[in-house]
Amino acid sequence: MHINKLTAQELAAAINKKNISLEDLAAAVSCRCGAAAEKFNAFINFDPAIIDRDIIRIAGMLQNGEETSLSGVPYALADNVCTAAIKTTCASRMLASYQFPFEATAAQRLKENGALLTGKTNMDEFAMSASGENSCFGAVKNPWDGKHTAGSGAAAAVAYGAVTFALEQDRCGELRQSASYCGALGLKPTYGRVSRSGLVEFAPSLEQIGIIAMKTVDLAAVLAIISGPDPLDPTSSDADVPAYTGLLHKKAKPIKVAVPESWRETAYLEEAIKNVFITKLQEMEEDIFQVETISMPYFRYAPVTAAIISAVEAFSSLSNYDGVRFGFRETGKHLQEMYRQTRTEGFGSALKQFLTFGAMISSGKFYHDYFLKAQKMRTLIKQELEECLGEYDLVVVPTTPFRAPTLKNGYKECLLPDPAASYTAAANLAGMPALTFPILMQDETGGINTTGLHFLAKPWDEAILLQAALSLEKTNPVAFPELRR
Amino acid sequence: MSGLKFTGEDIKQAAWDARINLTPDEEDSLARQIENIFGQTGFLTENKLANVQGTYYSHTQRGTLREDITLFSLTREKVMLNAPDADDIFFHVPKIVE
Repeated sequence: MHINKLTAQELAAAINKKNISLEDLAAAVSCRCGAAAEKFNAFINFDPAIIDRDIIRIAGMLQNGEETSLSGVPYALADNVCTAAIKTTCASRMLASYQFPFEATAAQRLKENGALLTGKTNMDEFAMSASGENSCFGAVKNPWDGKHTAGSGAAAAVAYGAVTFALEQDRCGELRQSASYCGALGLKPTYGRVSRSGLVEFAPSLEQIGIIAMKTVDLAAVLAIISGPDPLDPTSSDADVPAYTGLLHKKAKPIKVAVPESWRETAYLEEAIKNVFITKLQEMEEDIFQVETISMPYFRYAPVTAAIISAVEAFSSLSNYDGVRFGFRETGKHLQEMYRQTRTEGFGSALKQFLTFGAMISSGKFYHDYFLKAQKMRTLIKQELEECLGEYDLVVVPTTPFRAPTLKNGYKECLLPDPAASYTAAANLAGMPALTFPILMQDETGGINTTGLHFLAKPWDEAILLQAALSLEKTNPVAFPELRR
Repeated sequence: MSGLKFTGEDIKQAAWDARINLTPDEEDSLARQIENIFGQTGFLTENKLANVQGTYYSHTQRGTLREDITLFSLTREKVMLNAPDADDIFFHVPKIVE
């Protein structure tokens, strides 16, 4: 059964009408997810028993006449989106045996709509980056080429066709970077659109739960379900949630797109990415897009600004991991030593360095010159984007300056700032929605690589991102790695 | 660059503040990374920043106060479930003074 050929809507209809049995579905999904776990290390927690348990729950819903819009649609959660029945480890030794006491709101809403949870996916520790290598459970391999990183297990699982969609955190663009590395669509909604209740906090002013999928209609269907206010998250918004799926089929008008002229100045920009981006801009002009290059002088400061702010926020957010109330504990002669030993042994090396940087910037010597000024620069970046999006519908840049790095790649030795966030961090600083659209490209040896076109829109206008993606899908059809080989 | 220099002592003090022990290799790696990011922060000295208010959350939230009614909260059993060392009521920790 090729469930990855069906949209979420088609699969749910087939399940509701009993054209596909839940037993067949469970077998197909278990097989596919098992392969993703084994081949790519995509899952931290995958067990066919998780699927069987959820199948029983969905069968009960169907027996009660609840024919929901995501009946039986398989999905995965990154392992920092909390679940009541499965451990939430954040890919860290610190939480390796942690059982969260309730369900994240987004996960709860999927459950109520009949979606089929397959497991928890691998990621960098506390989702601090999308290197795919900073997990205590090992690196995540790219389904297109196992020598390269997938960025995250969620992106690998979706791109491999193991699940129809996955939810993952996006702090400085990690979700979009991973999706781009794996040839998938990735959507970061507007800040406040999706409840963060049950998402393990890292940098709370920047991060959102987003969606990875292979088809625009699936992004739209899932976004409609997980969006909306939540009393458990005071930063969630009561802004109207449009019927995204219906809006997709509205006749698209010409879409005005701005390209920041500084996009070529980004460090690590690969020639191949530059060439593909220029070609795609030309193709877009032949479609429904009107593309103009404009001056946006602050846009390129976003990755450094976001790195400073998120390090300070992470230093604060992770200060309660001390071995007292939950998680890993290392012994110590006295309380202070226990705290220190617990955090030294419980956190991975890259995260420890990041938190130390956050502590340094939080100190009196550096706070005013770096943290406060970074917050001011955040204002200028946000104002610049707001002015631009007052005149244009979208901003477009490449998603990352490079293709998926090879595992143990030198780029990732330096996460201050993370070069992969060169184009993606601005959306998080401004709280704007952003989407990466997958582009396939051939490398020098004839192998297939993937990259992404990255769009930003004004707050609450996810619909135009989805309309743009749907339009691009006509000339850039979905491709799964295994099906092409 | 913003002009402020950092030293190895700053890193050691910050690690102390973060309650983390770094190895000498980790200190060297972090020093290189800080050198890298501080080398890219010249824009933070721009005069344009002088009269700008910082943005701490990207959207101004309205009506974040809710009605003063009791909502669900975790039971003591659930809270204690993840504790590394506890009895029915208290978390156990080593003595505070050596």
